[in-house]
Amino acid sequence: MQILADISSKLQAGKAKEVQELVQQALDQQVPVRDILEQGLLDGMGIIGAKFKNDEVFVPEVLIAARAMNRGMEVLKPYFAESGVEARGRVCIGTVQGDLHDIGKNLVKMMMEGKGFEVIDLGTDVPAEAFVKAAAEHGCAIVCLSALLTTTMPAMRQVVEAFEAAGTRDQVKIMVGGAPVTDEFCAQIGADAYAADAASAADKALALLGG
Amino acid sequence: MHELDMEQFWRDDALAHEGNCFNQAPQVPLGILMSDECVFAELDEPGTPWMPIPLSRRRELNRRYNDKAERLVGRRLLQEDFLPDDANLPGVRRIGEVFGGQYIYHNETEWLTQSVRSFRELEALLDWVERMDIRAFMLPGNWEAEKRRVHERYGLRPQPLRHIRGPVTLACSIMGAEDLIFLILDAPDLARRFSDTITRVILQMAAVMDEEAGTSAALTRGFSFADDNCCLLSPPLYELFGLPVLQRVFSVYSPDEDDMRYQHSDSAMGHLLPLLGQARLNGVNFGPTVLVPEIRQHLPKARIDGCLAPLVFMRNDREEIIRQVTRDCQHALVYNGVNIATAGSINNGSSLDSLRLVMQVIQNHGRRA
Repeated sequence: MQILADISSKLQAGKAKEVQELVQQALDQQVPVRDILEQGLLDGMGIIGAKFKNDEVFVPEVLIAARAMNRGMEVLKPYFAESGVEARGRVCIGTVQGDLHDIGKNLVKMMMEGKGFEVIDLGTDVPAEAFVKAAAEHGCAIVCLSALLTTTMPAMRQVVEAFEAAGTRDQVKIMVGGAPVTDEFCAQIGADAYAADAASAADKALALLGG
Repeated sequence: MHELDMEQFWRDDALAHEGNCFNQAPQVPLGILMSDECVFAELDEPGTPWMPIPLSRRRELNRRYNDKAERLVGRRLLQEDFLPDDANLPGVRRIGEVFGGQYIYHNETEWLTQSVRSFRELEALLDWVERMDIRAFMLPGNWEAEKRRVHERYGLRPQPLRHIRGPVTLACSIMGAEDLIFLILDAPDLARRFSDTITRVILQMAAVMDEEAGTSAALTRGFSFADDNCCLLSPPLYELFGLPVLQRVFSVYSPDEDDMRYQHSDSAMGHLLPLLGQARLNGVNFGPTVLVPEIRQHLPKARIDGCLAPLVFMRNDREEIIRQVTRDCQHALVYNGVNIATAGSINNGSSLDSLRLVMQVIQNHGRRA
């Protein structure tokens, strides 16, 4: 459908106002909400994510595409409930305690939203217990931990341990990422997945949930 | 221990550094000289790599580290002779403070705090900075008296300013990375004004310190930037915001081809290489994903300090160190001007044994026939 292709292409170009208008037009034309979401908004973000992964576009292009998607979602979201549309899952994300870096975390958040996840952003310098509490409160299936400093990597282990101590470790998948983090480290601390970059993180999250 | 002829190594290494490492020496140069923060893991001592420590403790740790270094790599690598504390001048305010931020320690790491949260606040900040008496802002009240005292007692003068946080990293700290990108996209005129103001402030700050140091742009040449976050901008955005700062500052402090024009950005910023070529850099230290052939294509005269991944070196991953250093040696022999070093800062945990391994790889794979 042309209007869905237009939503996708305008989103990729970061044209927030036009995406917002097109989403409204699509709703007015009785295009199913799920189609607008999946074939319009998420399709556009998916293409931008793939291009980002291949170094064909850079952070600014992702950022304005995400902004355009958010504008479109503002129009679309009120119709989710009546249309039976649900997020693909709920994700808690945060930079671990001691670390104030947020750029990587924010990129992962954008990519996750671009895959249809609802993301609860806990911010930076997040204590282990806050992840446990937020995951329980919001029913998050995935918890994403970010660290950019070698000195804050041990805080990731503390989060895994905090979930174990709370008896809720089996209810969540824990993902880790950040410049000093590796697959080996992920295995050492008992996390479920490591992602080397934001686009891979979103793909891995989908895979973790069997998507 | 890895087999190594240390005497031969260091003899050849001295020659290799000549001509900004473009000398066709028998061996490619080594640029890893470790850092003060490595003492803790190496000596299995408690400590905080990024916090200031008492001078006596620093001296003692560095001496013990150097004893070990001498045995393993044949050199005393870290500084041991320090001036007493009272030879230090009082702190001069830095560029982040000019733009309203504060340098704070959080989790034993220094951070520059954000000072604006909207375009309107940025405009107000720039108004304030443009009216600022930079000299009065930078120098503390007791500066003149302390400067005189230190000079009389130790014969020391203040140092000129020739290295600074780069424009993109500075702006990301001051207003947040995402808002900086939106600023350049949505309000390019204000972004240009911000960039121009950063340039003016750098030049003013450098001029103040030149005067205090008793030198000038003409006498003390060269300038370097540390701009990790430049990778966050796409080429058009960097061309608008970041590059003009480098070009203007270099035009004042590095007008001639041999004057140092250096950028450290240990991030995935390879997409900016064509633009950085316009800044005619002659020294670079980029992230581990940006390798010699790609850099050389755009920066024919740059000494490339790299490209061993710092975290591989920190993990002392023997196999991967051998692979990466062998690769860089091969590139060095083809492209010249490669100083075998980490592609970014050296971290605590990087061992002297790994350094010895790097030296061994250079001796085996980094020699000209």
